[in-house]
Amino acid sequence: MSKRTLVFASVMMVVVLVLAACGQTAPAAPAATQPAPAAQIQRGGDLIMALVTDVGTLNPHLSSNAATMNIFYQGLEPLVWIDPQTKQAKGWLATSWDVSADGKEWTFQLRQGVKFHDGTPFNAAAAKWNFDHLLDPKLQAGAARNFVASVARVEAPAEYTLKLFLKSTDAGLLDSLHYGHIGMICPEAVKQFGDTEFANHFCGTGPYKLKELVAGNHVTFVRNEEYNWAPDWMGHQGPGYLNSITWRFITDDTTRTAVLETGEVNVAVNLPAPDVTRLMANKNLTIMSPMPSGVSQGLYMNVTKWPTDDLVIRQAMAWAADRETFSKVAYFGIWPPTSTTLSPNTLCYSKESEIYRYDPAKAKALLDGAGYKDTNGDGIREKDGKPIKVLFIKEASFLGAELIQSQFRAVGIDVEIQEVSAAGRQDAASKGLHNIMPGGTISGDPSFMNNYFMTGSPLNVAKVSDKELEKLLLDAKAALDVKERCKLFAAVQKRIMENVYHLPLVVSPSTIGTRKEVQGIRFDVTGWFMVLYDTYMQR
Amino acid sequence: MVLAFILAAVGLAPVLAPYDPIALNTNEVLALPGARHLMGTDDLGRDVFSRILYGGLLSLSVGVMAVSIAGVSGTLLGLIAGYYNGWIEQVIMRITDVMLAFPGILLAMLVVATLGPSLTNIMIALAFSRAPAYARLVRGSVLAMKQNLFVEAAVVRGCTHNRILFRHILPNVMVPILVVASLDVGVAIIVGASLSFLGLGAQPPTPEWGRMLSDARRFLRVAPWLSMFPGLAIMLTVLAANLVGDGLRTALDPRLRV
Repeated sequence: MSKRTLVFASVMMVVVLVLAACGQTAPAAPAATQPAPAAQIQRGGDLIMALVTDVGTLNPHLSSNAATMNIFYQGLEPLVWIDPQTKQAKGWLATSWDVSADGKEWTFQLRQGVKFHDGTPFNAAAAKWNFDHLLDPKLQAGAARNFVASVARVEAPAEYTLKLFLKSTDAGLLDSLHYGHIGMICPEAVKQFGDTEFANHFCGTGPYKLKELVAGNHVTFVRNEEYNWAPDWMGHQGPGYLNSITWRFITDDTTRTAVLETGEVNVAVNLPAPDVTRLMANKNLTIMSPMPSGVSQGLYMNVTKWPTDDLVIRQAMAWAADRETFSKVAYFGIWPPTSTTLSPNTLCYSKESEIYRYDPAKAKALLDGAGYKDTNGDGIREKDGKPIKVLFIKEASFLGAELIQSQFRAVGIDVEIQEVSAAGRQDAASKGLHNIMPGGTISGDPSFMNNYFMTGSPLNVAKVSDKELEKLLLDAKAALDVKERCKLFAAVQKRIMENVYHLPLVVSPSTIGTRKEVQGIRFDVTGWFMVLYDTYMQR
Repeated sequence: MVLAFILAAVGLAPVLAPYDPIALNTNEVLALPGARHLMGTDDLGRDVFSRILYGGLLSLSVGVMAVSIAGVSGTLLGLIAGYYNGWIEQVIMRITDVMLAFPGILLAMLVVATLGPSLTNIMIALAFSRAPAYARLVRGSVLAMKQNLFVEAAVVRGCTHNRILFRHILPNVMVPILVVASLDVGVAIIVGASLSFLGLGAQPPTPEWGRMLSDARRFLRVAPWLSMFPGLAIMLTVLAANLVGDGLRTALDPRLRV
């Protein structure tokens, strides 16, 4: 073959590829399915769910991976459950509880007749062992230890009575106790196999139990036929409906979406926003995005570094941010816009803290008033010859930074975007190299805000050190009366917004796709984690 | 010819581009390729055609600059190593041996990870990872060239080392350097784009081909043109650069002449 022919051949190949890509046709419309009445629920079926990350260890006391909660909730049961609508605690492995007047002594009555997967009984001694083990400083504990941070010691005065003594009053205790990572595990299994090996001998009280764990690939649970202690807020009694549940780890967004579309998996989490609109049109799929609770996805402002140390500049940015467009373009409207730090579905959310809306004229007036003027005509304002330029450090996963950049530039604030790895982000956050850094949290109780706005907390990316805010946060944590708490948290939210420590942009719900045959998925209060006890496959 | 066309299009980017490559237009996101936007628009409403043109300017200059730096520094090291034997040769050649033992992209990633992600650092990284190849090539040629009578004559005549190196030896080892360099431009463009694809190069909103490809990945199913055009641009440019290198080799290598 001559060289000329070769070149021609390679160019042709490209043309063919282009034509093939353009020739995609819409899939044929699928047959419609009817939802079955509750009486027709049949046992059986194998559910396969695609998760984003490898779950790592299956020992909840060691795990720091939030996504693993989707597994823990099927095999483990915590003491309480938080109702997603009312935000009230309901019993799970505990049936009732009392709290002393000073809020430091909690007494739980535990459910009777509950058995671990290995046949040993669940009682106060086992529950006490769980807390003691998690609080043992020798254990390299994961995220779960944060949930029991306020617990000083634990006692088991009777067979089914558990007493928690707190270091200080913690109104968020019940919320902390509802997470999957603090579900009760078998003391015997840990004693016999050790903490690391427990992952392969996973043992709890839940309606599904471990069949196999293939590291880096999948986890399979099968039905626990003994299970007959479901709390009354669940949809049924007795064992779960499904024969088995398998979680597969599929990191790549496109692949995870594709396996859902082909039906290779029944459920896929974290669907990428660009594909959601297209998937909604697919009659074989149901797309769910339950509104989450927690801190809205937004920008933390470093208040210790110029120019974001100037309140006027932070306020100008809050007026210059067009949240509607940001939500529509960067997140295809799947993540709705918000201008409050607590997302609207959170306990003690206060609408009064909604101070800023999109008003570039107001931003410009504020900057003019403070003496920031564009003197050299480059579109960027300066003061004493120093241009306003903020450094925006973010990970690749945060989308729409260029939109923020153009919106801020429109009022005369320059933005330099720097994309870093997760480790680079942490490093920048601790050293305070950034001016703005995106962030938000999924959580139940608003007390978790203490981690983000208290002096010295490693998660305090805004580098806030505000005595008045700290007092409000601590008082709110100690206020057992919900009305009193919410009043304090309203003041917290107002103070954060007045000082623009955090510039909220969008609410960040999970986007979960299921095949039509999957019914009865229950979400926890954060809207991100699933309880599959009532889940069944429709025939 | 293809390369000339690409060079012209890219060189004239500021004139030819119908839109500002970084101006957002949120009313026209993910528009299909058509009359208004030759190659469509991306997720932020930016014109892909304009971005490809400006991106080419960056990609090509990164490629050419990196190869020039690598070529000049590598050639100098190679000349020194080949001409002065002894410990200096040992030091230079052992270092290049170590560097050649690593895949180029790994070395480049190491440099970028140390210096921080930016286009300038990518250029340095590419130059750093390509230079050993030139050093080794030039040293070999110099060693062979030193045996020639005209070099001996120059020594006898009392020429300085510098004169012998640059006036007598260098011109005679230029040909292989040029051929390797022209082939290398293609490699440098690909590696540069790969680094940007991995988020180690151009920072948003800079239009860069690798970066555009990586951003387009999320839209593979929704807007395939976003990945198609930067991919095509990289492929055609590298193909053209390789063909030029190939042609240069054919033209300059006496052994290939019939």
